Amino acid sequence: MKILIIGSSTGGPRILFDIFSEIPKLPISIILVQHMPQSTTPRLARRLSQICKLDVIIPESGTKLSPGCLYVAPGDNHLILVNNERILLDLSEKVNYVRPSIDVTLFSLKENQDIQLFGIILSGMGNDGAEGMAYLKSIGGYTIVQDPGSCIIKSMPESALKTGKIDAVFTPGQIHDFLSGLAKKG
Amino acid sequence: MECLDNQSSDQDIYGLMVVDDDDDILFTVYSLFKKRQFPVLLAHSGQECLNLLEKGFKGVILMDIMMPGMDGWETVEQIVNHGYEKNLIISMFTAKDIPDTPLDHLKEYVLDYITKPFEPKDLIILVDDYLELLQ
Repeated sequence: MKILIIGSSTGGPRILFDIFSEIPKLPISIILVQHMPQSTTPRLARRLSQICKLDVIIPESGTKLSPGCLYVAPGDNHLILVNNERILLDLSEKVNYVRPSIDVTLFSLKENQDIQLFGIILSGMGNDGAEGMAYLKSIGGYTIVQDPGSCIIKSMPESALKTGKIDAVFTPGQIHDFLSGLAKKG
Repeated sequence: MECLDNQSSDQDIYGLMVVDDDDDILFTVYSLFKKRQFPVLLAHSGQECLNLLEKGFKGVILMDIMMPGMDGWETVEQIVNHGYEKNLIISMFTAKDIPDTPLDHLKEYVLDYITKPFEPKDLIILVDDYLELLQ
């Protein structure tokens, strides 16, 4: 099993449209944590479902992860993974000024030898996701940030890079290829 | 410059609003979109923007940051305080190379940054993308 967490904020949606364009159904569960108002969630989910072959889902508490699905964290809810299997939506305090917080989702991941974990941080303000990516690395995950030079707002990927725990710096095109490659590896 | 408006009064139509104190910018953006089927509204200030939202504007807002009086971030804060954000996609529209905000609590309401000067083709694609997102 494979799980990928993508953290995105200001400037991220246009990158999401690029990296998910024509992406086939992948043998991986993808969770997107985009900083956005609640009202934008169904719109973003619908748009992503139009450009890729993944099943795009706005999860409810209790939703079980399945491969081939892209779960869009609903605005105004933290998305927590329980035992890397089920989604719990949480209305506790904002973290890093936002809800959903990328850090909250990343820190909910559990080390498990049978599960490959990946994290990608895209364009955005502030430092949400940085500590979470360091944690992800510490439990054996593979960490990627969008090349700050290609970001509308560099702060989030740069903050993650400052942790020294990032495995790869990719342009949007390389992120797209990385995702496509996951399909080829099966 | 008067607020140029080719919109109908239909409340379900999503449009484009440009908020900028620079008449040249307003005119340039208006020229790019004036023949399109959606409303294009121009606001010279944050207060004009809020007035148009009060009248029911829905759609994409390109928000200049540096404006006299209420700046772009303060305007976004007022938009959120009034609950107008539900049917909006807000992008800051800035000349700054390294945009960031001291108002971290507002970042989730701003989906994008577009820097000036802009490539007309790129701006059209982005606005179309975000209008499609709202439909």
